[in-house]
Order: sequence, then C-alpha cells, then structure tokens
Amino acid sequence: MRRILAAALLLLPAGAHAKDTLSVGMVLEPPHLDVTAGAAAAIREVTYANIYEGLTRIDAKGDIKPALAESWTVSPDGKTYTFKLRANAVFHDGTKFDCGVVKFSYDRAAAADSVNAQKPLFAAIAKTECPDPQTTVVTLSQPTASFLFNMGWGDAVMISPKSAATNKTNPVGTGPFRFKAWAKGDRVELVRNPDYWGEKAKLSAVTFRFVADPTAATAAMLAGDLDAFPLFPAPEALDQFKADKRFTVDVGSTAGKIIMSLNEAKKPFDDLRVRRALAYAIDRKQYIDGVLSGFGEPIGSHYMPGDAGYVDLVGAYPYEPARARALLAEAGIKPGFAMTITLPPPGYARKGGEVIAAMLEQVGITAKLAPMEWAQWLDIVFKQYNYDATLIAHVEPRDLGIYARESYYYNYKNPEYRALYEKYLAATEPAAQADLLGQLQRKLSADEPNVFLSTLPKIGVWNAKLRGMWENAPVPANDLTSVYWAE
Amino acid sequence: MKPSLAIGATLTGLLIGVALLSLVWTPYSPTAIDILHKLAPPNAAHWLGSDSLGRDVLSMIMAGARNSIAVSVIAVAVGAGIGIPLGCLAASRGGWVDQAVMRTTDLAFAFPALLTAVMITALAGPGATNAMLAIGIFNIPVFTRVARGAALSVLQRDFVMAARAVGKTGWAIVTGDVLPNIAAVLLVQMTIQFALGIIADAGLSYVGLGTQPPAPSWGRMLNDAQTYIFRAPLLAVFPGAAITLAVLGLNLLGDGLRDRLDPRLRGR
Repeated sequence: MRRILAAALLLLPAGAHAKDTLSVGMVLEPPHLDVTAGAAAAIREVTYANIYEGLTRIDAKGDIKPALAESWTVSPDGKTYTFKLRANAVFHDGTKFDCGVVKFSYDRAAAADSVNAQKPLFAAIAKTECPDPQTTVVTLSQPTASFLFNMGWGDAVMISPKSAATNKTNPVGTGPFRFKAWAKGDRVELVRNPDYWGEKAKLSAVTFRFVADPTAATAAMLAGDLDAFPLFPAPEALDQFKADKRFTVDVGSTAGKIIMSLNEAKKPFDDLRVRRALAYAIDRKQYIDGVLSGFGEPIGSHYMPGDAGYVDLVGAYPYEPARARALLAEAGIKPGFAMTITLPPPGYARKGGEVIAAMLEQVGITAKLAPMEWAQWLDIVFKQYNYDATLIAHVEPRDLGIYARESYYYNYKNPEYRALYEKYLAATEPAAQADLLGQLQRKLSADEPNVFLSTLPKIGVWNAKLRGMWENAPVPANDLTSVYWAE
Repeated sequence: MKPSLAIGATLTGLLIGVALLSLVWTPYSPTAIDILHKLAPPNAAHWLGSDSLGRDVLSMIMAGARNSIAVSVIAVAVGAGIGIPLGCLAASRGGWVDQAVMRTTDLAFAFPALLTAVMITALAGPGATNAMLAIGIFNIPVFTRVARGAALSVLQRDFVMAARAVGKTGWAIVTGDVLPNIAAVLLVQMTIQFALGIIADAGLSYVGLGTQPPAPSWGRMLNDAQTYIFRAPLLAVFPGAAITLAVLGLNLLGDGLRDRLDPRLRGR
C-alpha cells in the first residue's frame, strides 16, 4: 500500500504539464453577456469568437474569414448571398446549428422589437431563406458592400432559439469556449468546449478579471495574478514592463475613437458656435501626451486614419483659446458658465477629464467632473441621454452610421447628414463610396456634433510566453481561440 | 512652553497659514496643466516639481491644505455641534436620557469609522460635502462621550451645587458653569479629531470618494503618484509629508494643550 502511495506521489510532478489556463484583465465589466442586446464593448471582449460565432468572423487583421459559414457566393447584382453552413456545429445547449438558426438569428435582430445595438446593420436584409438545412440564402434590398464584414460583428452572431432569452446571464453559442461562471464585480470564467466543430482551443480554461484601477492593474500584472491585459489602463507604467523580460508589450491600434460627446438636446450644446468653441478650446496634442502617454493620433472626425475613404480633418479646429472665447461670447455664454462632464472608468476619461477641465477653464468654462461606474454610465448617459458632455471611446469599426440614427445619445438630428448616409449606403462604386465617405466626414467636422479627440491605442501587456494574442483590435474582442503557452 | 507644544503650534500655524495664503496666492494655478513639463523634478520654476499632467506640486499641496482643512473643520464642527450638547444633556439629565444617548453612541462606536465613512460616501455619492458629513457623523459619539464624562465630574463640584442652591437649573448651569470648565478638554479633543479628519479625508480621496477632481487633494495626489513611483518617487513623498506634518503638528498641539490646560496634569 505504501509503495503504491509513493508511486502515486512520484507521478504528480510528471503529471504537472505546461500551463493551459489564462487569466485576462479587463478595465470594464460587461453589464450582461448577450452580445445581441447591448452596445458595451466589454460584452464582445468576453464573448466574441470565444462563446458566440457568426456566419463570418473578423480576424486580428480586420479581414473577413469564414466562421459558421464554410463558404459563400455573391450574385452578380450584389444582392443575393448564398452561404454554405458548417455541418457539425452544435450549440453549447445541444441545439444543432442549421439554416433555421440563421433565419431565427437574423430575423430576431431585424425585428421591430429587436434590442440589437446595431439594428441598422440588418436593415438591408430583405429576407433570409432556407432551401435546405445546410444552405442559407440572404437577399438584400440593396447591394451593401460591407455586408460580409457587418455579419462578422458581434451583433450578428448565431443564437440558439432555445437559450436566446437567457443569454444575458448564461451565454450560449457555438464557440470553442463555454460559459462557466460569473462572479459579479470580479470575474467571468470560461472553459474549453470539447465538442467544438473546428480546431479545439488550446487553453482549457479562461478567466476574465475586472480591474478598473490602473495601479491595481499594474500590480496584478507584476505579481503574475494576471497573464494578460490586452487593453492595459496604465500607459505611464509601460516603460517598467518594457524593461522586464517577463512581459511582452504591444502597442497596436483599435477601431476606437475617443470623443467628447455633447448632448445636443441640452442648451447651449444645440448651438453650433458653442460646439465649435469647445473644439477650439481643446488641445488634442496635450490630451494625447498627457492622458495616453503619447500613444494615439489626433482625429478630426468620427473616422479612423487608415480606413478606406479617410479624409484628414485634424486641422479643422486648431487649438485656439482666443477664438473659442470669441465664439462663446458670440453665443452669449458668460465666463464662468458651468457644465458637467460625465466620466466612465477608463483612464482616457477619468484622467482626460482633468486635462479637459483645465483647458476649458482657460476659455472661461467651469467643467464639473462626474465620475461614474460603467453600468451607471450606460444607464444615465447612453440610455437616458441625461448628461451635458462625456468622454468616451467608440470602438466599433467604420461606424459613421450612428450619426444618421433616429435616436442616439448625442441627439444629433441632421437631415442632410442622413441623406448623405443613405446615398453612401446605396453607392456601389468604390470611388463613389470613398467620395461619399469623405463628404460624411466633412459634414461631421463642420457640424462638430461631438469634439473628436484621438484614436484609442491598444496598449497590451502580457506574459512573454503567451502566443497568439491579437496585436490590434479591429473589432472589440479578446479572441482566445488560438492562444497558447510556449514552453 | 514645552517644546512639543511649540512645535505643534508652529506646524499647525504653518498649515493654516499655507491654506489661507492659497486663497489669495499660489505659485501657479493648482489645476493648470503643462504637459510639456510633466514629471519635472524640483527646480527653480517648480519648487516641488510637477506631476504627470505638468501641474505644479507646490500649488497643489497648498490648495490641498485648504481642502483638507475645510473638510476637517466642518467635520469637527458637525461632531462637536451635535455631540457636545448631547453629552451635556446626558450628563445633566441622567436616568433614561443618559442611558439612551450613551447606548446609541456605543452602537455608533461599534462601526469602524473610516469604513463606514467609505460606505456613506459610496451610498450618497463621492464628493467633499459628503466626506465632511461622513467624517462629521463619526465625530458625534466621540464628542458625546468626552463631553458627558467631563460634564459629570464638573456637575459634582461645589460651585455647581452652589449654583443649584441659588436656583439655577438645567441649561443655565450647563452653559454658565459646566461648559466653561470642560472647554479645555473639548478643545484638546477637537485638535485630535481635526488630525483624524485630515487622515480620513486623505483616505477617502485616495480611494476616490473624497474631494473630486479637478480640485486638488492630498489623498488623490498620493493615488496619482502611485503609478509613477519608480519614475518620480518624489511625487508621492510631498503629499505624504504634507499629511504627516499636518497630523503630527495637530497631535503635538493637542498633547501640549492637554498638558497645559488639564488641571490634573498641571504642575507634573
């Protein structure tokens, strides 16, 4: 007996194989986990590609790749897409994936009572049909060049009809990881899906931990409590990580645009002169140097440098406090005018608020700063539209469409912009599209519904032995499907 | 004058002087940023250097002193304003009034003060006003106890008996005979609570529940300095030293005053 015990003890070290679990730090906790029912990027950062998958997917480079659709063909008029579906995909709840699921998911997202945050993406779909269970035919009302890209967004993932109602707390998808547990305020745990249709995940378990405080994030990384922090909140501590061989530091790009959103439904932000004055009063360079430690590019509109059709409008509102003061005086704003800037937890907002308040003070505006927790911000600012101004990063790629919406939290209601956007959606020629994209950006710059500040850098820090992490974030995601530990 | 009293009085005088001076003058605006000159070490232009946004540390410490004092003074005023009358009431009435007041203060003492202040500000929302009230509420039972204990012993004294004998009653005795005789004890307690208030304010601001940005506060300066601890360690030293010196000064002052004013300790 004793010998058996000794043998068993000897076996233990041999059995302790290479690490195959991962803990990932995130600044913001998702409000819930249903990617088809909320705009918060944090939902995607936990679930996209890990739990939920769509017909197509967007990879680390921003390219469109097949996911639950094995392949597809497009009709010559650009209106009909025929998808061939994976035969062996099964949801975590046991539901088989077939064309019925595709039809259910798309119809649900486009329905009148849909709560999908990107509902306009589905507006182009005229009908979804199932000639056989492994084939889906989607007919569009007008050709939409970005359709395959759009269907790769988190908002367009496949949802099992059986569990659609409970995805907020118990997300069910077809992905390589299954949801295990969510300790609110602390962590979400995922485990490998042994029945995945494709190449199985190399990690056996993943924990997302929510650490909003930059100092705590730095400490947790240094102590090894966290293996990776893909959107690291303390750029000022990067030098320390760069000097440390245990870590990889990656500075990449996101599709994120940091803006100071203004509520046009509130006076005096309905006045173009006031909005322009705010744009002249803010020195983007100082903001980027002071808040983002220099990582970030100034933007002049709601569009990323480098994206198709980009127009450089950064110079439209140079830093000219005198001009800002003159415009404010013209609009009848007295020195000492007080406004509140609502600040969600990330550093670009919390620290950025202090920088912007100091700049606004120079032009006679007293900015009161109102820090808020993420859930509170989503409710008060994003849902109730109850705010003056806020600092926020919009991380969806090529999202000029949000300014054409009937109702959105900055209350920018401009018929000309909407007409332009309609024209852009209908355009098929790349040259015409690029031209219209330019016009849209110029219109936004001229109207300055929000003050456009900077691109959101993707500053990632992770263990040097970790492989397969995304270097850029073309869409908000922490795709862990091919992440593994090097020996 | 004992040296401790002298040092305490000097430090406290300096603290109040700096805070008063900051009302009319600071080297720079404490909120003015200058990103080009961020994280500068102490130099001729910025005597204590500049922080991560290029703000002048000396100006922030001066303005921070003002905020710290404002929070502590109001917290002491709230505590003393409610606690002392309650304590005197308990002492002079006795009986069930005494029991009710004292058991309530016992209950209040059962909660860790700073933790509950965190809870109050978390519930009522962060901000200097709520921090003042939260710290103030926890000063109430302290002053109640001290005032009651001191008042009880004074109430036994012959001159109070004499006052009673000539027909003085209730509040007339408390205000005319008791309060002047316990004022010294209360004054000492005020300096101690003042010091605790500065620590509590720094603690609340450190966790983001006290004075809100952009208004400078020592606690938040410490928090901001943390991330730069390896690049600019002095950033943490200055607000830390300010808190230490302010609290040390007030404690020495309190000790010195007690030695001087407490009749039982006099002449020892």
